[in-house]
Amino acid sequence: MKHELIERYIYAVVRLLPQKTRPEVEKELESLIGDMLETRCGAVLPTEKDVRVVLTELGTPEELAAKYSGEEKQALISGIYLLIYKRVLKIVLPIMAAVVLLSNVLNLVFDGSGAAPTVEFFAKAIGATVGGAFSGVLSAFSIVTIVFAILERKKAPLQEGDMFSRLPAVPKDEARIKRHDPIMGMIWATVFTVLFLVFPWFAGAWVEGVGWVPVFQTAVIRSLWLPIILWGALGIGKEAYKLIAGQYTKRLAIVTVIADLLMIACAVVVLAGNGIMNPDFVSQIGGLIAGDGGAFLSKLLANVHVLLLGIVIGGSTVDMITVAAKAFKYGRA
Amino acid sequence: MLNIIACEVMGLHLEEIVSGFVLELRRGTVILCVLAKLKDPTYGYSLIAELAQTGVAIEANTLYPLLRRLEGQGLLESAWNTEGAKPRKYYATTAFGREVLAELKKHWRAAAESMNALLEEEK
Repeated sequence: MKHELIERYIYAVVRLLPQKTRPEVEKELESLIGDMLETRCGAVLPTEKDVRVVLTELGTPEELAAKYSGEEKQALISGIYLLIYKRVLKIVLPIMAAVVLLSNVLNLVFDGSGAAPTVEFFAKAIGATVGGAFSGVLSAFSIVTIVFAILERKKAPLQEGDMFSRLPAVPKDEARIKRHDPIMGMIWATVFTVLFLVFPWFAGAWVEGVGWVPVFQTAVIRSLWLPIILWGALGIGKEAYKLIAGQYTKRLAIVTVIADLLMIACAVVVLAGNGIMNPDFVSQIGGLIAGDGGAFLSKLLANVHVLLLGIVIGGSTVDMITVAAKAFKYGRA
Repeated sequence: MLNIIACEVMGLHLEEIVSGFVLELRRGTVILCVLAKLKDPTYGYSLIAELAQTGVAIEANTLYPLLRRLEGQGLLESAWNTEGAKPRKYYATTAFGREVLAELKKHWRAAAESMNALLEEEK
């Protein structure tokens, strides 16, 4: 006898508790609610109303979770507020880190455009980026903390309305998104954008007598900053949405597909033409190897941008298909 | 007329204050009740009924988390019994829990005696 409302209630309680205690508390609550219903209804099958009465007796899921977590002591943030505070932090901080990182990159591009890839420039760039992300995360942390401290002081109700209409849907196990998956996605989008926009000269080769020959023309890439930043922002936004959703849903699938299509469009704008390629690179490298091998190699190297475009389109397509397939298989609307 | 209204308001206020204090008094004694009752393995919901029979009211949403906490502190041990119609978690005191109970009893008796003496003086 598994009632949907009971399942959702129990899920709403345990999702606020530490991972390792969840299965046990889930079982305990199932057993307890079963006993309470039996006392109330005897052998008669409990109705929806009976379930509601019993669950109301147990209190809101947040209250019960606060009791289970033992977080009832007085502190700056305690009880229900602490549990929800932790949940909010887990979502806000990674998103904040990614956003600040990306906006710092924008700054760097305009600040250091034309700067030579010197040690000082790298030191400054890395310092500013990492330091900025750190202070961004720190200020987000402070703001969230202060907001929650005030909410608790004012005894502000965190959720309004009827407890039952607020209960979240219980995701099937396969539909749950592990937190590290979208976080890795955000890191990847940020790192790629930073490397491509700030350090494009990283990709290159050392040619005897000539020196370092970069694959791309840094100035051309820099002039295309808008679609590149847009690509990074879309990537971060898409993964942030995934992190907040926490489970594969049809809405997530729609957001992902739209974001991926726009990302492909950005990639096409940047990579479709060979304007970003450094003509010296092709001639220098191709000239190193004589004969057919050299011709083939120079042809291949002249098309690095096409290769890159292929990788981006391939990655986005795989992402769209996986998310959409999972959403339509497990997800709710 | 005004007096009656004032009294009613005060009465309500008094009830509120008293029930707040009673709640606090009870909070301190619940652990003692639970440890005393769990010499024999019992599951949470029947413990609530047993305590209610002896005049101690405790709500499920307080007792269940408390049982887990006491187990975490090593005072109780638990085992799932799946033989019945539905699985139930049975709790019982550990040797350590019984030791703690013996100590608590001493403190309780001493506190009760001095409280009684103090309250007699009040008369």
